[in-house]
Amino acid sequence: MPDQNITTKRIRWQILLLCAIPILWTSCDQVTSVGGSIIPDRTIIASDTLIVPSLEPSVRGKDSLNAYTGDLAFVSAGSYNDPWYGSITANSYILPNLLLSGLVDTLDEKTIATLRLVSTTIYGDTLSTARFGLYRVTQRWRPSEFRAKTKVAVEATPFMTFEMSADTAVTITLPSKWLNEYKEFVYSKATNKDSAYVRNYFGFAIKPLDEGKIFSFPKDSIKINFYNPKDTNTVFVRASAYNFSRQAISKPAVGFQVSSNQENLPSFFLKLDLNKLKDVNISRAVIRLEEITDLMPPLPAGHKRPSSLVLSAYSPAGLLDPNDIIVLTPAITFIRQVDNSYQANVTNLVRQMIVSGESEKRYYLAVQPRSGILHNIMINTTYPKQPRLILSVVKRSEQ
Amino acid sequence: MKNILFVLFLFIYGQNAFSQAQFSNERDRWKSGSVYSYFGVGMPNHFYSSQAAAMGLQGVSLYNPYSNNGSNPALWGYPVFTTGVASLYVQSYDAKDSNQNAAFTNVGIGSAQVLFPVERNRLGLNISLQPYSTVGYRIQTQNTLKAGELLSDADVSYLTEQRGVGGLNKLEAGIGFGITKGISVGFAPSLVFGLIERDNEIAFDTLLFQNVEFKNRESLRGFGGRAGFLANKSSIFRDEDNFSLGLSYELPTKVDFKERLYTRYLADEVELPTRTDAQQTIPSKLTAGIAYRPSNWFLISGEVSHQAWGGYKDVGSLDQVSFVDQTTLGLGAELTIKNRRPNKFLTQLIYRGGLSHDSGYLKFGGQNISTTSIHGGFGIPSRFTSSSIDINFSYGVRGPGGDDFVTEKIFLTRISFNLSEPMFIRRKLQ
Repeated sequence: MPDQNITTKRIRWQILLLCAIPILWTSCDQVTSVGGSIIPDRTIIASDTLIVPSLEPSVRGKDSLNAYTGDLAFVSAGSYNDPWYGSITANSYILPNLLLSGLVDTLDEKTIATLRLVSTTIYGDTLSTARFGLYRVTQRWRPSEFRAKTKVAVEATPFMTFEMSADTAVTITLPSKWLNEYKEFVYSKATNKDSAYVRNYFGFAIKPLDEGKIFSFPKDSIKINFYNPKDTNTVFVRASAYNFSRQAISKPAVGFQVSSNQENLPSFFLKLDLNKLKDVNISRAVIRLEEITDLMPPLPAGHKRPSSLVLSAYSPAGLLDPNDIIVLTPAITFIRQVDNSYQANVTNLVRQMIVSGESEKRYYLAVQPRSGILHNIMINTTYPKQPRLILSVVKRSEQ
Repeated sequence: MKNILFVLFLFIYGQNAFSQAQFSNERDRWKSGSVYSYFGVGMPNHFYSSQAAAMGLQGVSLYNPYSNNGSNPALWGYPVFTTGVASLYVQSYDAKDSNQNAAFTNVGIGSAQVLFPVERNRLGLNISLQPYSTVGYRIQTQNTLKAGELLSDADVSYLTEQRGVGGLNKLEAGIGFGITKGISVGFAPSLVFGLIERDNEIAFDTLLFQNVEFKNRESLRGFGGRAGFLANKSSIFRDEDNFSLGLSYELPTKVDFKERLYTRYLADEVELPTRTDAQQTIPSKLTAGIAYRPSNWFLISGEVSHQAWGGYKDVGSLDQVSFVDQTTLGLGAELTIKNRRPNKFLTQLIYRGGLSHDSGYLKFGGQNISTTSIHGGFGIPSRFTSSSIDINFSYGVRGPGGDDFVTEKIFLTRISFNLSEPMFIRRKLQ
């Protein structure tokens, strides 16, 4: 009897071990096309184009759209008469930093001050020479409050003029009149020289003296150098801003204009027929906006109208404040294509709308004021080039 | 007590293994199997007894007091010991069609069943959990949409993977009753339930398109039952011979079929509005078998089974396939070495073999998808108890051949643990 118990126990353990083998066993599996001939692929993939409801102007009204232009990465200055978008004029306002107190001895009679400007983008006649004036600003301005339509008082005549030709960089020797005024603040006996400087000195404006082109200058590239036999010092920009105006001209009502100054902030509704989309899955969703280029009169040789590679769409919870655009993250980013269209892949966005049961969502279109130059995009709103949503849908056939 | 725990272990193990095979959310659960399991509720299962399976039979006429046989409720009318069986199998497929070959291997659970002798040699209670049908397929097809169909300027290629997993299970509790010494009857009601998941995933060869996944989740539940009859007579031609006739009739099983469709958006699974609620009837099956044992050392048995799949209405099936009545024929034998020698292992084994032909329940283009198999195996009886381990093999060829069909060569190895213990009997001597 004891022998039998031992054997029975041994058999049980062997069985338990055998049971464990399949758990540890990883089945070999191979995915193949064998059987594809008798079990056909029952999926259908098709493309469907939905018309995006027409663009409409911002409900805030044109007058209130006044973009923030203070202390951006760029300023712009110049004037150009665009045959499609009208006459555009931009003025820059610069307040340089005050030279550090430890360096005041370097500003003497032999010191020469130069203003260095480097342009990155040109709008207009790239080959002509444009004249600019430096004007003493006579009114205090704050970059945090500066808007595209802000007007700042300046002296009637420039204290200095200069020209910019096809070159994109210029060095201007500032007159002694400007240097002497600047030195007064540097040599000031005031307890807080810096505050006195900001309170009493308002910088200078760069304004076009004729019409030809508009330059944009990166704020960080604008600098004033002080040279004398003993030393060389440089100050950068403390505050900057620019304003601009556009005299629109009448043109055929064929599209909707989107501008980097948000003077016209159109919006559209992305609408989905959720009932129609319930039995399908979206594999790709693209919004296509077409820019009107064929109706625009061609620019003369050597003239350039900068295009924006990116068009953004925002979807704030409420109405969009145009001043917020500079800090908002776009919900949709349209990329310019070689065929002058702007396309955005909105697959995830459309899928999210379907999941959440959201049938429509409003988007504001804007061009980010990235280069300081006014960028305009004319969106075609006429059939068959109106804004449209192109869906690639997959569905299962019943048979 | 230890024996009861062991039986419980077999049940729990079996159930866990079912769960692992059917309801896991891991991607690895998609296992390739027979492509023909795509249709209906999957490939029907015919395993009821390890002894019979090695002979190519279901075993409706094979009475064996030491081995659990679930094929015929009437077989439970003469219980002697508490018998239980749990089995595991490794199944290898070598599939071929006009395009390519494929090979894959699966591991699965056969069944778990226990027979309790309520009244010795008179009344038995059998409880079992076993796979009733199995779905397991995974097929990829490559497609291309020409320029202009989806993208205006470029072809778009995509890969569709169709895969299915799951099947029906049967939880059955039945009794067998010995009316006389040679005639018994039995009945076993059962709960048939299961979940079949069918996925379609479309993957594009360009990042311009996102992958799409559709999922069909079919849940099925119904009640069925089986009735059985067994006639047994000894000493017909010679003193030690025995003849038995077994009949098993499986009632039509009405199954509530609920299909829900889902698609995946981002991380969310969204239910689609299309719903199918239907009732399916798994057709009745009649199995008849005879077994003749001229001596204690040899057994031969033949069997025929007919299931009326011809009237089966599949939900969402394809036009090109139809269901037809299925007839299964089997013939097998068992040999026990007459002069067993304790020190010769091979003389201790029980040898079994047989042939079977299944006419199939599917028809494509006028051709039945039949399966012809050869079976073999051996039993390893315990030296000191009535328990045994059976190791079976079978090799079958499914499909009519030709380029229009998938031909599957199926090699199956099954190991079954037969527990046979005199439980619930008060021992007179300790």
